[in-house]
Amino acid sequence: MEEHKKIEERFEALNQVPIGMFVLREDFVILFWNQCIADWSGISQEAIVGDVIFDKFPDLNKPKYTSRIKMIFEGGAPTILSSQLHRYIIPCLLPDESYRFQHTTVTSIPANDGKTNYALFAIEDVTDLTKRIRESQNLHKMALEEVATRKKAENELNAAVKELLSFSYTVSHDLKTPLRGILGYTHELNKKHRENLSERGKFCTDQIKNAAQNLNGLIDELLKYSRVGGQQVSFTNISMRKIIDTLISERNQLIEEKGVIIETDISFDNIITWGTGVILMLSNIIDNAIKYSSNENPPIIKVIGVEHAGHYSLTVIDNGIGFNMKYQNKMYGLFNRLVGDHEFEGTGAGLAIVKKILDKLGGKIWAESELGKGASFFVEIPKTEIPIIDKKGESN
Amino acid sequence: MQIDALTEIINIGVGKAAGVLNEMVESPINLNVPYIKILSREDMKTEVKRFGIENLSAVKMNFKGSLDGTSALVFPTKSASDLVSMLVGEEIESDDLDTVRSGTLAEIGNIVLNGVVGSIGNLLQRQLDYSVPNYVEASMDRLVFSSQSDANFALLLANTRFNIEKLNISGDIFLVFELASFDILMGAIDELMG
Repeated sequence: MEEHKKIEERFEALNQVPIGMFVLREDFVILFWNQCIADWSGISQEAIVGDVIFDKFPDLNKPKYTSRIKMIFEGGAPTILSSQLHRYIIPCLLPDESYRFQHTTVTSIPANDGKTNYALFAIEDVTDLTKRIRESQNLHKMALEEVATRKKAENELNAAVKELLSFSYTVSHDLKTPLRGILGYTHELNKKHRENLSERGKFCTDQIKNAAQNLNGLIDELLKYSRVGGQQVSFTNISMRKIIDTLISERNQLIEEKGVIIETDISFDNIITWGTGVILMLSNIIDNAIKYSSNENPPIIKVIGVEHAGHYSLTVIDNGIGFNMKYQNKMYGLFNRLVGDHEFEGTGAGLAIVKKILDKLGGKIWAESELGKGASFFVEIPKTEIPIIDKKGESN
Repeated sequence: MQIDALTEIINIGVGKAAGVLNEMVESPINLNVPYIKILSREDMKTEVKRFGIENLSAVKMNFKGSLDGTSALVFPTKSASDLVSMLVGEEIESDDLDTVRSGTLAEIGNIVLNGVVGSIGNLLQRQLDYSVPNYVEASMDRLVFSSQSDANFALLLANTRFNIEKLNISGDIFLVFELASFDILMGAIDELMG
């Protein structure tokens, strides 16, 4: 009793600290049990002081603890019992039925007899910290998984698109061979044997020829579309005015034939962009404008170019047949046509190709129209700061 | 001869430490010290440069009594993080050591240092006073040279090889002792060897 009293006096101050603390004698008898550990464990000082610790906490009677604690009684260096490797030393239940995570430091202090040593246990409650770290690790893990899932989906999508493009290219290419045969034999039939055919026979050969030519046109457009899809966007320096002038002069014969008036007003000229893509895009839009205004008198087409802060805009306005705005999204689909084949020739691939080019370039296209009142097509080409690499690999 | 004896004493210490460690970890670890070097402060600077690693993690413990000094177990931070993950059997997700994991590293370091310091203490047959080990992250320069201001302190570098057979992983960690004097240590070894 005398020893317990002295111990109580010596460690009295430790009742004030918010750290779980207790003292063991070398026979593993608990000499002191502070208020904090009493509160955490629900075991009062009166109920535990004087007992051998293993009677209350048999888990501590394992070599992994006893071998290290014995060193402390011999005056050895302090021992750390971390929360990750041991979770807890003294089980302390929390209201949610889980146990407090504990980081414990055991130090050797001289015993009251001046000859032996006590082991002083100091237990920090790291429950909140552990839970927060786990939450943050889980969030981090989830974010990484999300990124990986998206990346996988993106790769799969890219692979599928690539496969589809290569498939349509191969199919179109392979279809060309038998079609060439059909066209060749129909040509021969028409040229050398037409007089031997009945009227119905002549009609049938004409129908075959027209259908085969249509199919040939569709395949050509499909090939163009596939090629655009598979092409790498490469930036070059281009003169927009020169490109538009060339496109118009290439169509001079048709323009003169139909009496088309074309006005251009391009306020910018040299730009860095995907040259081949832009030329193909403009040729499709200008061809459409000529085609759908060709029945007007006279057909009038305006091409306007304006430079903006982050992009260049090109607008192509015609006074042709126009279209119903409620179908405007449909017209960018491959082989989707808003007019019948008998009214205007075509395959319905042109605007799909234009849309594909602008998607690859990061640009935009939209249109405004009213049936019978012409159409305006608006294109936005983003400005780029990507340096142009010439053939020697030097940037300009 | 003395160096060989000291290498053996340190090996006994790390061997004991591995024994203690293996009672609590998922993947058992072997520790051994193939060589030790006793260096002056200047030599140590050259030696430090060989590590070529900027960020280091260390568990440090000071001791005083018949022998004054500092002991430190030093890891490149990435190895420290990997080692914790491997020993506790968790996935390696990040190189960062959060407070909980640095607590684990502090315990691992504590066990290794106690094993070695315990062996040295046994050799000296004198009791030493120890500080509570603490975990620090810094450059090697700061780790080794900031603790003691006395330029006459000598340094002992023990290259410690660890090997986790279950995972087929091995690597190096470094035990660094900064001692006020090696004379006492060497004297004790002489006595032991007769």
